[in-house]
Amino acid sequence: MTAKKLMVQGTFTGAGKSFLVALLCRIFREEGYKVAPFKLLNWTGVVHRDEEGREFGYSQVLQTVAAGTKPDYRTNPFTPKTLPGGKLDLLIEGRPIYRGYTFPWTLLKGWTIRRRRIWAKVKEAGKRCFEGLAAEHDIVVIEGSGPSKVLRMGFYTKMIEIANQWVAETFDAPVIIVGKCPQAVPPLLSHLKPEQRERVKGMVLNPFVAPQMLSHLTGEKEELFEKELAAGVEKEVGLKVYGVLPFFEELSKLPPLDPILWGEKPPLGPWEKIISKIAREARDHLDVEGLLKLAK
Amino acid sequence: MSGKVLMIHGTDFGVGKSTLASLLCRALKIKGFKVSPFKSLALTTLTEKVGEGEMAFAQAVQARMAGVEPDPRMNPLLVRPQGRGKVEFFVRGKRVSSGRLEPERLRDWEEQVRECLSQLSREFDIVVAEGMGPTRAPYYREPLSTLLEFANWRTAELADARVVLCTDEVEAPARFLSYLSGQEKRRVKGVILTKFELSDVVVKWGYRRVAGRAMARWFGWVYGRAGGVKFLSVLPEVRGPQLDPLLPSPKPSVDSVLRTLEEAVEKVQGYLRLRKILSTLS
Repeated sequence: MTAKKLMVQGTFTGAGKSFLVALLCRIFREEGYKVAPFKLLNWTGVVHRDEEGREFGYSQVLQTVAAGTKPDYRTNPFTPKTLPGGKLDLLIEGRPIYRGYTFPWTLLKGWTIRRRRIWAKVKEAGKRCFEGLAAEHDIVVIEGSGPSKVLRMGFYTKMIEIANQWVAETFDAPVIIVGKCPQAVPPLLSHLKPEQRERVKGMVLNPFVAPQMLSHLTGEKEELFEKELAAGVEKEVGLKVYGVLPFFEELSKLPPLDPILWGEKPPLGPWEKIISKIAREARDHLDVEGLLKLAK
Repeated sequence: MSGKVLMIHGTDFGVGKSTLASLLCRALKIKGFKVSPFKSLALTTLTEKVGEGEMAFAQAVQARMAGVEPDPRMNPLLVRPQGRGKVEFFVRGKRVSSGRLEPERLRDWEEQVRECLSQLSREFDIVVAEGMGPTRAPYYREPLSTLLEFANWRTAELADARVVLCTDEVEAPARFLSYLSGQEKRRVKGVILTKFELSDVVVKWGYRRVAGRAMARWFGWVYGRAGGVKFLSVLPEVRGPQLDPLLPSPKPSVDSVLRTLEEAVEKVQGYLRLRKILSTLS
């Protein structure tokens, strides 16, 4: 494994992980690196089907487009694909291992061993895919799933634990947390084990609208408020703030990048234009050098 | 006023307070209550002309959802930013000043807010009040922090309101409760989680009422212990135009907004757990 790694985890579902990873892919690429996204587990109804017939999360395709490379099934080894009627297709490396997996009933009996086997397969596939990506790229930006830790929720807890903490530990990646509400971070960090907590190096706020609002209200410059608020957040959370991203109008008009249910796919052509435009603006709000130094 | 005002505070801007208030207005109307929306101090560029006066668009929509005529008393104080540090300031729908915002003068208008509240609570069975932004944000600076404090906790005190915390981050409420004084904490009766994606999945499965109750209990059990937070309901995501956008944006038509909200009322049925929410008022 030669590539540098950086992992993005969220405070909660819909925190903006997929967007931040796409943004980082774009920015690192513009810095001259060969970048790949990676998300071990992507529970989604919106999938991409490549020429070989492999299916994987569409948000990973958006991220690879942002990184300027070709869609690759290895960016998303495990995809539980939501189907209508409460069913799931379980796809490993783009190939189905179970079709029409009805989730609530399989929790009951006879499935404990099968579930264990599935997780073992997922981990194996994850390692294989990641090593492949790491050998071919300079930086791999890893994305977690959901919140970085969930307590006492059985199957869901296990899933989140593997998708976030197992990945960070196995691939030895430094973690940044992304979220819109800084107050959610201290309770979240308090749930982590000491060695997991040590891996968390910083946070990115996305979107954080207070600076824009304040500048609109008072007529002063946005950057002024941004620095001050970031300092306040740093004191509150106890993590270095690597960026305070504003509200991007173009992004809010797109359908959600990585929904759990099925939905519209943002078309790839316009998406590339949008993400490159956003990346230009976002550079002023992100500590790119700091993030590059953080990746190891 | 005691036991009549249900106030919705948020943990951030744009967590869905206005939408939640509109849904509550309609749901309570269906139950047969006479409901009025309320927001003591609105900071928005979207306003609606009502008779002679001007009021916030979100409250006008909420009044329609409640099936009552919009009235500037439902939004006694209104700040309309005009960009470059200039604002227009409305009291009970009438413009009283324009120019720079003077947050220190808010105290002078307290009497107006109190009067509007007491009139509304006499005329209506329930007043669904809405706060502004995060319920308290220690690191925000002037003038935003004064506005927030007035719109949230000063109003809650004036109205003697029961407060429900609306959030889209399950971990956040515990931290926010630690910012509050003992007296304020006693006002907070529970948390409502909005925009929860997994409940969208469950909506499609169709086990609504059971799932709604189970999720609220589950979250209460898992996340509630630390800060003594009670989860009243867990709501799925509702798509539609923003009622109270954070930044200047074009005004959507009232009809289209009402239509999406009416669909949303259908969608959250069984998840809203109205009886639980009403029990906070008694």
